[in-house]
Amino acid sequence: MDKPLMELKNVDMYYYKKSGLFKPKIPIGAAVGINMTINEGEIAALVGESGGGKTTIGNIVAGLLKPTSGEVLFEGKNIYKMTRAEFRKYRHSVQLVQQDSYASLNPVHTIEHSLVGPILSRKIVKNRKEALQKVKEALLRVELSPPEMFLEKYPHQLSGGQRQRILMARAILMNPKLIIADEPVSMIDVSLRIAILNLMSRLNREMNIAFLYITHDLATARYIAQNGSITVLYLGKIVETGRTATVLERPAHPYLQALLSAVPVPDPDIESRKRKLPLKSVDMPSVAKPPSGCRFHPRCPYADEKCSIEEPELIPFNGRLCACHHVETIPEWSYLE
Amino acid sequence: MENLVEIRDLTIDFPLRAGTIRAVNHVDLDIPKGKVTALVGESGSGKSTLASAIIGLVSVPGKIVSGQILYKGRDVLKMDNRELNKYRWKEVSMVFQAAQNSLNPVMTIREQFLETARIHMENYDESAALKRISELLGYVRLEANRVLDSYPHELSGGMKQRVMIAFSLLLDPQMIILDEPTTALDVITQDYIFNILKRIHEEMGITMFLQTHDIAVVAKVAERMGVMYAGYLVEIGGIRDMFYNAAHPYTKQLLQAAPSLLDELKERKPIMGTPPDPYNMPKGCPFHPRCIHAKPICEEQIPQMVDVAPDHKVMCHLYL
Repeated sequence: MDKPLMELKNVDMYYYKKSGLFKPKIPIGAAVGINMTINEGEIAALVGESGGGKTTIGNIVAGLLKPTSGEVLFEGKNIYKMTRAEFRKYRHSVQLVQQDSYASLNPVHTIEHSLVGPILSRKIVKNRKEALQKVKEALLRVELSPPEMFLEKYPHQLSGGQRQRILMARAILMNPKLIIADEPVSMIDVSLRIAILNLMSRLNREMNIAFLYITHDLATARYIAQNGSITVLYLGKIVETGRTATVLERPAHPYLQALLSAVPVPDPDIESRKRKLPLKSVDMPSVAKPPSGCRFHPRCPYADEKCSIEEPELIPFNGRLCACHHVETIPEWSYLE
Repeated sequence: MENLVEIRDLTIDFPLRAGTIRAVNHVDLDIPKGKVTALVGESGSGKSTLASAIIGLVSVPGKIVSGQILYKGRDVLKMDNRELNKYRWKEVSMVFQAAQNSLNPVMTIREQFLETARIHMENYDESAALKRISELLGYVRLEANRVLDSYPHELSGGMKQRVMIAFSLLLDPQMIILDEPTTALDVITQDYIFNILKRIHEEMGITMFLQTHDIAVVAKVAERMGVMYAGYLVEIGGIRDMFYNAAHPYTKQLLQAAPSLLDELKERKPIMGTPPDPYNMPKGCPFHPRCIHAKPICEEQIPQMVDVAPDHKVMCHLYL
């Protein structure tokens, strides 16, 4: 039975934008009505385009952003009602790995300094000798071998892929139950991406660490979360969520269908036969002024009047949840014509 | 097949404090007229440097050490400034990486278009120029009335990129160079822009030269593909030959490493190792430290470019 590790319950995150000296501030719903569960040992992908709210949700799960309303539960407990000790444990158990590996490491510290420091100060190890031993083990786990070669280096002396592995090592040193990986491969060369994704899958299998993989890239989401779940965001709301295999095989929401049609496939013969979905408009509306009703309706080829008035709820459909009024009637979708 | 551009033995060096980087290494490349040729490579492979050299622009401190770039038989590298001014935009135009930032933030789109038209158009006439500009904006599916009076910050990234594509067409060039034209844009916008470019290519017969790191984009738009690695052009051929009969081990592995929405997930394999340090290039074939087929000769000699099929060349000892 799946055991929930992190849960978001009716989470809203509003930012407030100044509109003028004496005018009221405008609320911007970066994430609205989010319900999400990440189970122990699961790989969950969170996908969406820029402005979708994926990084906001990642930061809420990491405890870096307190939502405007709603509950964030870790192992069933609200993280904002925890005792200090409980909150500390949660913070250790949930680690964040960000996109820019260069910005995440102090440029004037050696790798040894950056990795030994956190586990010493958080008393995960007793002394420096034990810390060094642990760090070496972690470096081996992320396939940086021999570890001694990397300890003395500064971040600028490593490649992007190696720095991203260092960040993974720093995360696993805290013995986490969940690693939030926010676009971890988007700044890495194509030839090295699969290797980092494979490393994450291995850490998931061998150490039973759950991953929340945040990306705009559906192909890598499909690759890493093949046995896990996927959640698709559009302008701050979840439009579709379920098992990755189910959702990507027969996408139900018109936005996801459009997104999948737009992803190029590295095969010229398939590419020439791929299905197109005629959107009414290419340009995404601003998050500050989301459209009424269904947020996708101005671009959706299937939208009618109801869509512009009433906001759709996430409802079960064919083994997943989908927020679309016409999910039952829109034609079935496939990749090829 | 007639070639619009023929690059011969082109070598570009960047003398830097820590040593000299050879960004482009003795490259021979033909760009046939009326086709879409794509150049694939990872960051630092030299594809952008090569593309900029075609319009006579190599960023400081880059130096062209050897070679020729022949455009319709004339060497671009020997043109003087006056000739270059006629050649750029009118013969070959370029849409730069993050072209969104190529627009002047304090001028409206209308002013920027007119400025370019005034400087480059023969027999400049404002109303004729504006008519042409509106036509082009319509072509990239922008509302001319709205866009012309906007400042760049009032447009989205995708709209700015479409403005830049319209710009590149202003003087009816024979060829457009597109250097990563959709980086930093969302998937749906990227797809839309490539559909527009495909239509421009088909309807106007414009030659296109695209640089990208994304092999899937190449499958969508290109007719020919070249692969660059560490400054070398390692393989070039027709798109189907390259995807279904790739010869160079790097090309093969690059194709295997690209995640796709439609494939067997188990077939994806990473390429071992990392690209070489540009200050400290390996002896012999630049790919040999990562190559599963490397032989002793690969560590000693740089392989020659050889034909493996008609219009399909590869630089690898396996085929010598």
